[in-house]
Amino acid sequence: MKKERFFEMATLAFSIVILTILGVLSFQYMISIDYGKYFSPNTQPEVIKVIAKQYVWEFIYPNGTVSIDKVTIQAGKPYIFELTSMDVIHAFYIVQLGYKFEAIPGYNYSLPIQINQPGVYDIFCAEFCGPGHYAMIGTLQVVNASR
Amino acid sequence: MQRLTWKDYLAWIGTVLGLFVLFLWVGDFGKLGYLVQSPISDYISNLWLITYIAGGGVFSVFMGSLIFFAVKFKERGEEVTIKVPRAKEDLFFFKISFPFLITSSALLGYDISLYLSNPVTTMNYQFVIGLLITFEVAVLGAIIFVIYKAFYSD
Repeated sequence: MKKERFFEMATLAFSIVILTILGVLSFQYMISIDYGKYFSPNTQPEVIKVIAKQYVWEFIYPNGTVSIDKVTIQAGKPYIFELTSMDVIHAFYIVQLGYKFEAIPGYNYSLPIQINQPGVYDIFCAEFCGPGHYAMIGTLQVVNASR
Repeated sequence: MQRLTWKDYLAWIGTVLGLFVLFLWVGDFGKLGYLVQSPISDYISNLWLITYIAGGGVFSVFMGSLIFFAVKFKERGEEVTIKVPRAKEDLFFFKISFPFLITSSALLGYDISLYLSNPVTTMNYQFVIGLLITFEVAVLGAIIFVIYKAFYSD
């Protein structure tokens, strides 16, 4: 095989290998995130409803308590955020988690979530939802399990 | 036809590897330091690491080869310099705009590095920073145009 041909084939093979690895991993990770497969077995995740509306995040805890723009969860404990929107399309974006999830009116989406590190994290809207979009900022507070 | 020696191959590989290391260093070796400890962020981190290293490989091979070939096969004919007298106002524009060019480029670079180092902070000030970057790009573009006109006034 000629040198030029070899290099040409090598670039093709490199791209195919990398894209295949990324594709397979992404698929597995997506399944794991979507179904909360990383939760340890025999644990019952707590469901928190998240309602997005111009320009606030409303959180409803299982006991009915409503919180605006602030949600508190325990570190290392599994939760499911049930996302929906009251008006237009929003996107629930936790920057430090590196993940965002769409909130669409009329649909309920489940986002299994578990954060192991206590701290205060930002929640942004990552879908342009109107003139006040930039002000739609919430806080996710992760506290130690003992609190 | 000029043939490559082993020294040339070494220089070529050295350029590619140098650019690869530079690329990794700029992006903190593919680490996303601001992510929280969570299974989801671990997934994101793994995917980013693979993507970044692979992207660095592609960048360094193509850019390294481009730089190596540009230097190695540069036209080395006899150079003739012709001094053309310049209009006074051309030089005036050039002298005025040069410090602005340097300042706005540095500001633009600072803004970008700020975003890359901590997107969380910058997200809080996204509107102001977006506005600032827009102005900086506009100023940079205008100054580049002035300099271009200073050199190619016709």
